[in-house]
Amino acid sequence: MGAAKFRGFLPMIKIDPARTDLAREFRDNPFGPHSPELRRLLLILRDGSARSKKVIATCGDGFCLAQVGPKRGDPIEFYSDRIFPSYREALWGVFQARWERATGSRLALD
Amino acid sequence: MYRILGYADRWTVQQGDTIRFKVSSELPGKYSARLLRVRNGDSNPKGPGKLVTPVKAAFDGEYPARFQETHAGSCVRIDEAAPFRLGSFTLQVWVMPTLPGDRAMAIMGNWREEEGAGYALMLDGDGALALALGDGAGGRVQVSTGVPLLKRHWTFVAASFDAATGRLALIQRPLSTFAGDLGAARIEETVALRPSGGGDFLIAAWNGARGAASGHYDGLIDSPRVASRALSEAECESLRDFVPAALARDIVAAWDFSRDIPTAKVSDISVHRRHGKAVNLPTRAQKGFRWNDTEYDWKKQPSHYAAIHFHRHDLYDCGWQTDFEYVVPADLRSGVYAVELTQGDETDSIVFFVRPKRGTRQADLCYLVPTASYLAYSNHHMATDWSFGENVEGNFGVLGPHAQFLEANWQYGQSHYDSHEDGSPVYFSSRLRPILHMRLDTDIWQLNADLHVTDWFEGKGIDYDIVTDEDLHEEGVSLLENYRCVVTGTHPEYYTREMLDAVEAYKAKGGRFLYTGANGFYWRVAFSDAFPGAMEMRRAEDGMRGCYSEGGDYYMQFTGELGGLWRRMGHAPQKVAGTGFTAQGFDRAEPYRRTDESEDPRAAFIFKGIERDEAIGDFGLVGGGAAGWEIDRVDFALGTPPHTLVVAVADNFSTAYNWVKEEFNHSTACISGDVQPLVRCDMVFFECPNGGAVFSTSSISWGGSLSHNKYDNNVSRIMENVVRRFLDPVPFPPPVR
Repeated sequence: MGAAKFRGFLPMIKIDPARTDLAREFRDNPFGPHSPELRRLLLILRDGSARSKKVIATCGDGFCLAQVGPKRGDPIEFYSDRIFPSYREALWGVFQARWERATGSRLALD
Repeated sequence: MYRILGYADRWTVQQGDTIRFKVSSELPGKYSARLLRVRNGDSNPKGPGKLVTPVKAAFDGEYPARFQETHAGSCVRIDEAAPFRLGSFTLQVWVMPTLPGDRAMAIMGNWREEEGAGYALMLDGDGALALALGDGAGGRVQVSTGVPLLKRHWTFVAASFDAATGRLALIQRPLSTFAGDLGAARIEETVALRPSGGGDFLIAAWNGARGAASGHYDGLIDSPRVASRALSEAECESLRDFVPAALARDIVAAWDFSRDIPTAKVSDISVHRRHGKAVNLPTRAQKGFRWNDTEYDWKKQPSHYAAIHFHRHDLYDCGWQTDFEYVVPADLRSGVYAVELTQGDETDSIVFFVRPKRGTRQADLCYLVPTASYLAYSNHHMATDWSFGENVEGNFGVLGPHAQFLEANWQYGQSHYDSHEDGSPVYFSSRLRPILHMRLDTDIWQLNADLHVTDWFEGKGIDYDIVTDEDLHEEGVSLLENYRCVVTGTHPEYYTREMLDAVEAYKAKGGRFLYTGANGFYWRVAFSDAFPGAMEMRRAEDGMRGCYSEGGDYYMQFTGELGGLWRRMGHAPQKVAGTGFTAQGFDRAEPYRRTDESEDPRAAFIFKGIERDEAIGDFGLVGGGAAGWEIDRVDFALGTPPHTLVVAVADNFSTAYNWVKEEFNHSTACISGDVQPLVRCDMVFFECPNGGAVFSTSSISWGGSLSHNKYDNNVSRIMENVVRRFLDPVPFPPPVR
């Protein structure tokens, strides 16, 4: 019933773009276990359906990011310019994409 | 991928039965078909791999490929067309549109879209009431109120047309009274065009290309009426609940959707009896405009449930033509079989189950394949449409090939885990369509997870028969009572009353029941003789679920039974298997540890060859452990028998595991595996009357650990200890007080 509850999407909970330490923790250990602060961040980044955010998609023998259309049956947009050979690498790719959407700033780690 | 697809007219057959296969291919040329006996469907290289054996069959060979269309979308088709070829008319009905403004959609009429012939009461692209008229010779006119109907509110709508004068009137009058005149409109116009021709009279669709319905409506419809002249508003009002004698001659049809609710029949209450048929299983037993929250069971006040909810993606039966059939030979062993279709690089597998001939058995053990649960998950769209999916799984999701295909092909229908486009729950799932989740070598969930168990039977040389939920529903305990041991699948979640009664009767007669899964016996569902191959589910009140029923919408149309959790109906899973659903998480599985109760002599047979302190199942193909994904626990207040032994427990689950929501009264953060002690998995044993017994592993992951180290491991050993003892006719003595 989600679509019927509200007009438009609810605003995302804010995340602090300065907490790159959490991004680093995820990059180095995507499968966990994670610190409580990273868990909270991941809950926020993972909330919502594939229609509201970029997701990982299988793409040939690897993975890429994709965006499902807002309406059922709309074509899926595949960002196949960047292929991730493994699921682990794709996890980091989707984390970056959602971080950037949530913070409005690019995620750059040394 | 998925350019060749097929399905069969049944999932379960016995020797002598004929099963018919329907195939559609987007490719030219020929495809080949062959029969396989299936031992294992999981190609994971860490396990035994996909294991199938070709079986000679008369249908083996090549067939011409052809594309077969699928027409989703529900509607009502009236049997007669001629009486609806009207010059003057009135069309009136109560509607609750759920997607007004999404696109133009039909309410009712005999409109032929391609020819522009006949008439249609409809919502235009903005969601406003409109009347389309066409003469079939290029003349078309569409008149709209220009005022969108209110979404999810009942509105009375009517259109009248007088052929003598060309006068046309449209009325839309909401039932709710808000400040102002929101959603209300009334217009009159005079047009020169006179409608002519037209096709079948349809409700919730119009006549599209090649005889198929199109222009499907999303929403509810209640009490449609058709008159053969332009009625006044007062006359329309008098038709609200019945056909008054003064108007009897003018009424062409007046349908009452509250009659014959369990069937496809749509009854005309006018003297003409111009009945219709509901196509593609729209939802009946729905609250109509008369519903006033004084009654919640449609059987007790049918007039309050005189609405049908139509959806453009409803699907009951693809209705494809048969490509070939197979008469099951008398010597074919019971088991899991698949027809493999191959055309170039494209393949499909149509899985079916061969059971022993009714009243006979080929083995002492039967594997009860949970086909009701397979139906519930069929063609689910969780990857694209679950707003909580990634947080349930505890990881970022992946749009795999299935999800990508289904997103582009909604005509293949949905599952009980989906909501319709308008947010309403999907109440029906049918097997009369291609089902991607029933292919071999796909998700290790349901079918392919259950094949880990058949693989283990074969690996251990244990003879088994296959029976399915549909067989159990139809035949009851007589299906099971001659078996010494009944083994369930990994996730037998959906049960009808008949199935549950049969299992309880089997236990009471001294049967041995081995539950190798979790989250079983959870939701109440219904089958119907009126709709073979379809299952109904209403998710009332509570439970871990993909969608939920609205208040007042809890009684199933197939049987009139209350839908929802068996637990809420006083028959919790703990009464059936000793354990019931307690938590789920999908990041990793855990091993069990033996308890002090495992040292009870009653449990000695279970742990023969198992050390007291060894981790049981710290390996496996489903999460890397034997206890995981969905897990069950005892609850003596909910019906776990008092003499039950909890012989092993898995705990220390991760934060991805959360306690089930039906168990807590208020939301708190104390529900995850790292803080909530009820997030645990209990392996249990208890004796039943007449020498019977129950053993429950209480974990979906269990089956994925059986093949580890070439079937030589402690999960396999426990399973074999239990199966061998359960096959031994020596009665289990009742526990000593």
